[in-house]
Amino acid sequence: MDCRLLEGKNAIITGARTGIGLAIMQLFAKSGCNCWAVIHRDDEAFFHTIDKLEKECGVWIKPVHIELESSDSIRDGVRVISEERLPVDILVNAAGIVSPARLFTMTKMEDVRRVMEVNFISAIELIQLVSRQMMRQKRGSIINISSVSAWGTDSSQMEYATSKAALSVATKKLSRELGSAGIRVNAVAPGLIQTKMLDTFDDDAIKHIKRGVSLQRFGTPEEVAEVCLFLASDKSSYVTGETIKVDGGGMI
Amino acid sequence: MTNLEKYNNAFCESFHIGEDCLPGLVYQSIDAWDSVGHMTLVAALEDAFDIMMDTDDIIDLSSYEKGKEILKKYLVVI
Repeated sequence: MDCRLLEGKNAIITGARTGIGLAIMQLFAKSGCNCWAVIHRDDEAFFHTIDKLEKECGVWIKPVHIELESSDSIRDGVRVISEERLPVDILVNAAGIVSPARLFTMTKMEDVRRVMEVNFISAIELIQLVSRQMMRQKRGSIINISSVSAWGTDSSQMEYATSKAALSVATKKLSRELGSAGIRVNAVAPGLIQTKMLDTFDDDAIKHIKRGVSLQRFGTPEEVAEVCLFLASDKSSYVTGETIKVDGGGMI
Repeated sequence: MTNLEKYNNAFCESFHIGEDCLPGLVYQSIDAWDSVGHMTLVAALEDAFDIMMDTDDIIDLSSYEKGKEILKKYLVVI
């Protein structure tokens, strides 16, 4: 049945506690997918969400605590997952941070490093570790959450846009290397989505961006998750190396 | 099965070669030992000895002989 597109599959999803990552986890669970939810902190509400999803969808969801700025933490987290000796069918790198909208000349280098570390380095480090497992299985789907800001021409948030552009380039390059092992690597580039990240824009900036979107509205995390579901499933079995924009026609 | 047998099996099965090809075998000296074959070998070694190799060791695994040295770090004596 199409509504259970990922029945019996197992996915690692970073940034699963909030926003786009959470929406992906929810949709994957509804599609029959078990999830390792990579988070850096938890709360009661998150555990409640997990319990509810497990009961409603007949899947398991296991929180895995990883500090994405730390290689040791990433390795430990992947080790915990591999010790379960279960196949890893899907990896979604959805975790991301954004620093306040400001010009490059007013940005601290430590902020640049942190954004690159969380948004890009941690994602490729996870891919390096998880793809080893996928190579054994001779199959896997990796999805990176990029951003249309990677192609934007406005002057602020250089580090965020650069980290997302790097992720899109890595997607292309890695799809070449991992394709022969049966692993597909794709990216989704959301436009302006209704998440907490919007708080970093002021009202004028939001109005301006909204005017440039063909559909004249923000997207929802669920709309991004639907595209990820397609890329995770066998429905996209001949798609790799692509970055699919989910931006309501903002970048035409 | 001895550790040496397990070690040799990992190479032979990953690269579809016989044991006679193993001495002196180095990375990229045969078609099968390319970057994808390399990761297949790593997976086979990790499975055979129940270890998780560090990325630095994966990069250093440049020959049949070097692999024996690296595995000592994981308390595997060949």
